[in-house]
Amino acid sequence: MTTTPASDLASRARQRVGEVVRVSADAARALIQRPMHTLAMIAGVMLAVASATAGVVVADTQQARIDLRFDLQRSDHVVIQADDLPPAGFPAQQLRRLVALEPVTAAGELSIWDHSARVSRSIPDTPVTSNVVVADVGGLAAAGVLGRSGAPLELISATSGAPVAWIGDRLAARLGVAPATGSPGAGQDAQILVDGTPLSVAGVVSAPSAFGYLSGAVVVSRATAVEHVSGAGENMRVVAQVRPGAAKAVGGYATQALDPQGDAGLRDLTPPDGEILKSNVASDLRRIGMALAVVIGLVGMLTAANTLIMSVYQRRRELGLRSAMGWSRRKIGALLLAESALAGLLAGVLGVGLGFAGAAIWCEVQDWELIIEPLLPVVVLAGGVLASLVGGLLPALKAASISPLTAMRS
Amino acid sequence: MTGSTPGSGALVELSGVGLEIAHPVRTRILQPTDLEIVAGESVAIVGPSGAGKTTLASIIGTLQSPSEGSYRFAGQEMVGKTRKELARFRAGQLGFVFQQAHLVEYRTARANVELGLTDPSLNRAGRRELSMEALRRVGLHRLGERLAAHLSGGEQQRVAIARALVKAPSLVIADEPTSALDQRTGQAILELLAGVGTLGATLVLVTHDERAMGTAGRVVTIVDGGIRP
Repeated sequence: MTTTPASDLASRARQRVGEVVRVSADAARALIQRPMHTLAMIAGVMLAVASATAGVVVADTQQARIDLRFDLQRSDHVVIQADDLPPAGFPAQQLRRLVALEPVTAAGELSIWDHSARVSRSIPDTPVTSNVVVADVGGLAAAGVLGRSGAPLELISATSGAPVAWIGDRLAARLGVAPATGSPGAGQDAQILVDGTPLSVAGVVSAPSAFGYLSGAVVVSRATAVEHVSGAGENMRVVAQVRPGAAKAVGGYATQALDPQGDAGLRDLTPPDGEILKSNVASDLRRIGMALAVVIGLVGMLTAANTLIMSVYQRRRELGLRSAMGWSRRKIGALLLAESALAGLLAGVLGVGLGFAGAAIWCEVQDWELIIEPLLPVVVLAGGVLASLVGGLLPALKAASISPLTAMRS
Repeated sequence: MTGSTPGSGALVELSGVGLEIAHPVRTRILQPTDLEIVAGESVAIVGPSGAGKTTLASIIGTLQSPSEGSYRFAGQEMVGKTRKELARFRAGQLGFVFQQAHLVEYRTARANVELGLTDPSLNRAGRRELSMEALRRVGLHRLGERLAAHLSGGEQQRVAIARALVKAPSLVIADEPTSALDQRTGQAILELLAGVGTLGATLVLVTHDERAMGTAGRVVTIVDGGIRP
């Protein structure tokens, strides 16, 4: 029968595949028939894979929690400052355009009129240095300012330039001011002097820590400040409360919306939301997880190598016999590597299961929601096989170098 | 039968083949030796312990190379071949039976015999058939699926013979195959080996066993590393 080069090649390829299958089956049989030896061989890699899996799953889960915490701490306020606006303040129509944005829940003015006003209850009292803040209802709502006592904050825009103010709770405590309930300027309010100008205290407010300075401030409407408080205002700011994470985008848009012509000299003062820090923490966590996996993987690899070397020593006669019968060095080495790879695969499967189970129990105890990357089992499994294969290299070389005479002389 | 076995003439030709090792001390293991073994012949190599019998057999089996001389197998020079070429030669032409059966304990008798089949073109069914045939020849076909660990010493040695014969080698080298067996079992093994010639193979039998000398066609005595004339 004549054969073409192509059919000859195909036949050789079939023979090669047959050889690989036979060697793999031989290796599998060696592992199955010697369970204790197999267990000793896979223990190291299995523990390494389990530790790496559990470590990465717990790190990923912890990462999700860190993400959540960062989200909670991300800036949810936009602050726009105008350097060149007229004393009338921001045009109401443009403010409405800002409020209409989807991520914005409230927006309005919250400017510093005077950062060092001298405030007291009466002339002989020692004055307290305080901020005088110009605000409207939207600005106070955006800053999360709440009325603690006295007239509702919503009335600040209705004061129409009357000498009425709201003061922060810390300032109220220092001055000993307790406003009466009722309409602002109704004649029953406590009085304070701001740089010598008397103002009625309509209410006491509290502010969240992000706007803590308002607790020690005197808050008035722009019309009141213009009419009754000395000075011309130190800055003019709009504050908007936005959905966490949207501050940067809204800040960029707001400068355009509030000042399309670019006449007001607007600046976006929105504080950064810690993305870089978050990214650094995330990369540090992964680096720690990877280093841990590499160290444990190395230990597993050495354990597998040690067990295989002992196995090669124990099987010297058998391997020598195979060599005497005509097995090539490559085939004997391949037999050992196939055993290594199969042991690594077995160790990987058991290790991944063990690792997931461990991580799941840990997360259950900690009441964390388990996060599993879909590719993780594949990557860790491949890592286990690779570690086992690398660990099997030296034993395979040793096995391949066993002389066929060993069988005759033992 | 596989391999290029000549129908007549010398299968094994040793000419001035000797072995001297340099480490750990320079030692002469085998004096320069001339020996011819004709195809189909049955040769017993005998001599006292340490005389060099196993060394001579291992050189004939290409398990080690001589330090001098020429070794031709079926007219082909063996000295100077690479390790890979020698492995391929052994795979095609030689069968070995050692003092110990060296079976893989966790494999069945049949699977152990299959280890002797190194022809990659054989498929699974072909391997199984040849292995069972070899086991039938040594009278163990009923124990083909029994684990090697569960066979007696004599049965294990029979499996080893089947493993050596399964590829129908040109030359079978048996090194002290009966020394680990009782007298009766040893006799049965010798009878089996005596039948190697009927399969067309040549037999080189290294032994102390006087009965073996009776079954061999020719006896070569080796003393102090040299063949006694």
